Amino acid sequence: MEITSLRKTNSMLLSLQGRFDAGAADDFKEKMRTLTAQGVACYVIDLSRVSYIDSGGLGSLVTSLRRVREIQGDIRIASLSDKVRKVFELTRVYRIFDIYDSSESAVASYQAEAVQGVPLCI
Amino acid sequence: MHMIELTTPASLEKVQLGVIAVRNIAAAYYQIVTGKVPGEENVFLDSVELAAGEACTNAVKYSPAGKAEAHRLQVCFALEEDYLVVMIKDQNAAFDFATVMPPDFAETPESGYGIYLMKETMDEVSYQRKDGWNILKLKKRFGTGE
Repeated sequence: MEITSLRKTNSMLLSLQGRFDAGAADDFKEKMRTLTAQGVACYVIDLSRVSYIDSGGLGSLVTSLRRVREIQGDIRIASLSDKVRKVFELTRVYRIFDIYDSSESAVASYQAEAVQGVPLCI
Repeated sequence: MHMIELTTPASLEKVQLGVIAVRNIAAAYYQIVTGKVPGEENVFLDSVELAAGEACTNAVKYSPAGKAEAHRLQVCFALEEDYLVVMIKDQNAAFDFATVMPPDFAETPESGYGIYLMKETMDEVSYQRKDGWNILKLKKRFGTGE
């Protein structure tokens, strides 16, 4: 799986491409660990180009969310295909994430909070 | 009767390739049985891919530490009436399938969804231990694709 990172005004946008399975989960967690150690706490994860997700990939998102919330950060999910959304729903994992239709709207949600005076986390 | 059998080393890297193969073989059966070419979005194929992927990942996860590459897992395909049958076989330690509990959804655990997802996406999931092999049998009825 490829992970592309793009720094936005109030968040880090990570675009994932390929199969987000148990084999890719460690790479994703390592990427998140590295960015978080650099002080990044607010993330948008764009899953529009993820062709497959399993419980291993999903688990790495849950692990990463818990880590960033310890530093008052967040992970917001964007652009789920029906196939990927179904796995979020079956596992009820959707309940702990804010999910957006597009990465633009997810990025904008951080910007809106910044305008409203919510402390920035990046 | 098994009509196709795949054998792969029990590593996550190899399993990824194996699961892609499972989807493609399931697509071929789908086309033969239903007479329809499955599109990219197909619930039947998505279900088989996910359930088989979870089963194969578990087989790797529970391989003896440090010896995963030396272990093999097998994926066998068969037809039973209007069902596709996919069997995942490994030689790991036996486990008590009947007592595996569903995840505690209230806690949103980071793992432990595998068997639950198999049961949710397949029409039937069963387990048997035979001649030193764990055999997970996944059954999915054709016609649930559209």
